[in-house]
Amino acid sequence: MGAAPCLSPHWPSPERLPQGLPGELAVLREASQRWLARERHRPRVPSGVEAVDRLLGGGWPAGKVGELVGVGSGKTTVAVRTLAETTGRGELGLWVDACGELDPASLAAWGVWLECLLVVRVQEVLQAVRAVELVLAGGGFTTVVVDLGERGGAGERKLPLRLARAVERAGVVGLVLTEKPWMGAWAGVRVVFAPPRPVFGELPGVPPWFAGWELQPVLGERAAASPGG
Amino acid sequence: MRVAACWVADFPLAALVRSFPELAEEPLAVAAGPKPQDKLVAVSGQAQELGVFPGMTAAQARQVAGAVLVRTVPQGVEAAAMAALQDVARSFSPKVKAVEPGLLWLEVGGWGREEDFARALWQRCFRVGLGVRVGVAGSGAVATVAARTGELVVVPQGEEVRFLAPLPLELASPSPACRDTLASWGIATFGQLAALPRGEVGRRLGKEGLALHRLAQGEGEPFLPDPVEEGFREGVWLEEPISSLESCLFVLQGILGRLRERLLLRGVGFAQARIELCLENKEKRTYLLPLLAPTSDVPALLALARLLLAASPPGAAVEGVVVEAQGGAVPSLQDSLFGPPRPHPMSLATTLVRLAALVGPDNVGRAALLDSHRPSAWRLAPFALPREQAPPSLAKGEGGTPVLRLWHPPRPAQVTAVGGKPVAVRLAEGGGVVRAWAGPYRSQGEWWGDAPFSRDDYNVLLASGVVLRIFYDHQQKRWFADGIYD
Repeated sequence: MGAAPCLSPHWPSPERLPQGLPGELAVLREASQRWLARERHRPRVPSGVEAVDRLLGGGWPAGKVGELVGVGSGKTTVAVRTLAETTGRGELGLWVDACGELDPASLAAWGVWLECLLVVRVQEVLQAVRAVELVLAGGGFTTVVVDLGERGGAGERKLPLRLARAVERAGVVGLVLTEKPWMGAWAGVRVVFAPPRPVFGELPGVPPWFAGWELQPVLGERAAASPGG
Repeated sequence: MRVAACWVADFPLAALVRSFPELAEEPLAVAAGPKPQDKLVAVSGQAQELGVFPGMTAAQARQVAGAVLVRTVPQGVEAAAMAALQDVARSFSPKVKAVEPGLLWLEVGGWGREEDFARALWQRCFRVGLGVRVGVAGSGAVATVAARTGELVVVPQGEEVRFLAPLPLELASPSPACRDTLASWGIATFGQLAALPRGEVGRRLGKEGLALHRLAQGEGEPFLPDPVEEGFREGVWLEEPISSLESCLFVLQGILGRLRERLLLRGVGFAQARIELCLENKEKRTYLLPLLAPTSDVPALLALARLLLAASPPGAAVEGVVVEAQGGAVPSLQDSLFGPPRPHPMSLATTLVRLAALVGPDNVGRAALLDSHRPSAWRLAPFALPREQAPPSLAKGEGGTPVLRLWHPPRPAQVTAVGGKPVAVRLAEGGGVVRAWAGPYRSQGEWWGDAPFSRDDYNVLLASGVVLRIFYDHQQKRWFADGIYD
């Protein structure tokens, strides 16, 4: 992004206003247009879920944190399917587990190449953010998932900003799984899941089985500008 | 057969200076033996100029010249120097024999001019910190005498007798008794000894005399080469224990540098490196550098060691530092144009060490499924750089059961079942009426071990809309819930 436009630090005097303000506004307008153009051309990483990709305009924006919110709603499945896409290409991914609810058998069943997935188990949200910073600083990882579970909402207020900055510097896909919104204004995109419609299969003479569900993702409240801006 | 002898004069002194290069410019003497009668076995040129000579006791040497540093050779130093010399020799020939400390023989062949061979061998020994003299002749014994006469001496084929004739017998290091006997006969040179009848020499001087006589007549026997020893080991024992991290790293840097040179002689890098710190309280602490790929990058290894030592300090002053390394071919790290991005192995290794320091070494790794019928059994295995391409057996998940968020340990549940079908589930956190269910899926196993299991799993949809996995444990005869689908 170019140099942040700055308005005059002093209150404009009546003599200055007519000449200065249009110029200032023009600079702001140009910066906004540059930012919009950059956002429009930001690479998108497919999530592997058609409904989510449709919602996001092609996939997760690279360099932004996507926040997935809900309880038993499908957010973990979406994150895992994104990982399956990236690790299936041999790219390295990071899973930061802050709630101890990781089930690698499920990940493998969805096609995640477990050899490509670095798992870090943490005890607190600060450790989670620090772990992400360390891994992204070393490079070579393209997808990061931070599973906060019910810890979302707890911790220092600056942690979402640190996470967003780390993801933006590295230009990777960052996903945060949380039961309640945590990233605040620093989320590049927030996907909230309405209660899904589970499908239980039934056939005569066959015990019923859990066949999956129809995800119902909804775009949450749009986030503010990029943390670097 | 032509044999080269590689000889290090004053080997204890040379080995000590190799491990402690800062002593190279000092007037130095090496003492050995029980104190206070320890005697000087090797003395540097500067120390000799100050009037100190081999054979003096250490106390006498200190009285004669207080500026002379009298040191004993710490444990492992000579062995490391000899191993380095063998590594150099093996980079020239597969047939190498360590004859005695500071002397080894190697078979010469296929090198063109032997003078070039001797010079290359001499130069390469400098890389591992040893100054040597090289002799080449038709046998190891003659080559050894040749090495003792000059820095690079090649005895032409068939000229051994003529070469040895004028040389003094001291060059063959005879025992004092043998030397005195020969001196009493007026025999001082190889030529004079060669002129004596062999039988008479053998009767009067025994096996040693026979060997000397064979040497004087230029005869030699093929030598049996030593087997190749895998693994590289270098160590330094300190006169004063050190307790600071920087001092320890300084010593480690020297050791890693010397090991690197030895590994490079075999064309390999560090595939594995284990650091052993011998502490003042007689304990030992071992640190294994978590290398993801072989490397020759000593600064990177040192950075890893710094992280490990800072995260887990030894707890006492360090008396000795030993490093054992295994060699491995250093891979080319050029990224493929079409392959996925990869971190540099050393960068990733450093990151993993930092993560281990942050969250504990048991909380960093890759998920590995266990070979068990127990549902969702897995463990954390060490993380390593994967292959370039995913295996063809990788499942292509297309629909199916959503991802489970596993609860560990499973949460006790109260399940109301009617006719074998769950109708209500109650947990500490909540629960509800079951709107739909699937199952049972029975799994059992490990009956031969300490933790056999037998359970019937159900997936239940509650009125709240969440889908839980519950199971009836036949061992404990109760219900649990161990996850929620998300």
